[in-house]
Amino acid sequence: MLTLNGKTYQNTDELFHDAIAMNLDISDIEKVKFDKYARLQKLGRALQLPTPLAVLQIQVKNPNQAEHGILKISDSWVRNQYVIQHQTMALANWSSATFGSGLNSAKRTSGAICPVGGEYYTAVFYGSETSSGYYAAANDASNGIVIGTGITAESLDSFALTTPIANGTGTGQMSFNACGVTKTWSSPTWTAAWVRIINNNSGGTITVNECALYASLFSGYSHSFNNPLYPTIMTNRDKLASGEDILDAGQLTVTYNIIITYP
Amino acid sequence: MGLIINELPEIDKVYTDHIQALNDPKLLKEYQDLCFDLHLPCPSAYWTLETRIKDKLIERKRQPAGSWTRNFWNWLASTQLYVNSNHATSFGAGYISWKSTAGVVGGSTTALLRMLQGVSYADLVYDAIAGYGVAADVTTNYGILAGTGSTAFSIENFAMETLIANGTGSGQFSYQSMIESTWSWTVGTLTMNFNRFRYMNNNSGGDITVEEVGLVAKSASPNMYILLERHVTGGLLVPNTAQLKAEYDTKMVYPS
Repeated sequence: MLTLNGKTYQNTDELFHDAIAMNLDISDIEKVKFDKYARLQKLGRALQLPTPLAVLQIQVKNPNQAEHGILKISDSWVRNQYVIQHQTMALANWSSATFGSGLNSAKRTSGAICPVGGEYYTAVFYGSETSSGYYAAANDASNGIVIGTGITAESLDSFALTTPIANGTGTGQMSFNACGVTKTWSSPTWTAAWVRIINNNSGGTITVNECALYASLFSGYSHSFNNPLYPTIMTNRDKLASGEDILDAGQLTVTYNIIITYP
Repeated sequence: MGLIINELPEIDKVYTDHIQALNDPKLLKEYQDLCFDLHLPCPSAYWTLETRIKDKLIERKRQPAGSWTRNFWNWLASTQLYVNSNHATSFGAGYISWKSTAGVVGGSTTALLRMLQGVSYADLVYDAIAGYGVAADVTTNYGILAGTGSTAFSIENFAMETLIANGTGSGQFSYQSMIESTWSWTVGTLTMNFNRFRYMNNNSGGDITVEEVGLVAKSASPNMYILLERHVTGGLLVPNTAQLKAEYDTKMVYPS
């Protein structure tokens, strides 16, 4: 059972049907993944173990073209997300000032590490859905749902988009609307639909090859300065199988439905 | 309501509860394999309970944890979806809120659930101080707790059924401070583990049978104690003068 964009699907066939009706491309491989997830979700409920899932939906509206897009399971959580989810479940702190396999730390989109040596941080969630996490204000291309032109393969250790698209109307730039959320309870799932509309007013075509989730995370206080710290970290990066051309005056809508299934 | 596991047509074995299902390595392996296949995080947790008299091991039980309460699932939802609590006074299916061990409901429709914040700037390392999280000192308000209630776990549990009080009187344990261990990494299984434990001494003059253990966190905003897990042990005898070590491991398997 999945709830996407406020609609609950009892089985994957209903979901595939709607995707086709919306002209969303969903490959046979993706269909198998959705079916596997349906099995995992049942097993997770039975064993009372978490099975958090993100589903990526991309919709393209180009001038004089039919609307189209893709629907896929976002199977590219990066190391940051594994660490943060584990810390959340364990109610535990950062413990390493270096980043990588076997280490309990995160790498910011800037490349700096949480925590920074000499200061004390902890992965505490603080803020609200309208000020932190995946929220982003209009024209802010450094938080929330972000996109890029990079074609580098997905990697567990990615910490930023390969080639981010900046906000603006200049060449190669796009105009980012705010990134906001709608949350839906449909027993037994809570779903957060994070949505962002991004317009191309650059005067030329831009090919979007990658999407990501950037989270603004409260990471504790600096002992030295008594300052609250809100580093931005990437939790997920999806490299698209084929790039989406956004024509001048075209519009891209990116939605991440993130789902927590209760027992 | 029957167990969901018994409704899965592909599984022909009947289980009495989710812990028994978790003890079936075949099911846990299928869960892990599907997580790997879909590149999803694969967490799990374990309780280890040991009784000793003067360093001599009397009994040891290692059991899958995962009897997580609605409080825990709400915490997971709020923090992984980055969404606010949706009600300050209602608790149950469809609400992202807290219910304290005292039965008080809390939350804020304008904020994420908050577990550990609200401390002064001097108290920063939340899980390593006696004050917040589960790093309890000598108190039975929070941390790892033990009880004698044997009623089956329910996701709606918000307190221990029959908490064993701190002290040396009849039916009481002398609780020690929570011990925080470091993280550990096992290369072979690509597993990160976080371990915490607590000693409880039985100086009550009589034997005590521990039927339940729990994990309670302290939140500062709102200021309340929150039961995250309640595990029914099946009975563990702690003889007079014996020491109980209750250990809780949270694990995450990485793809590489």
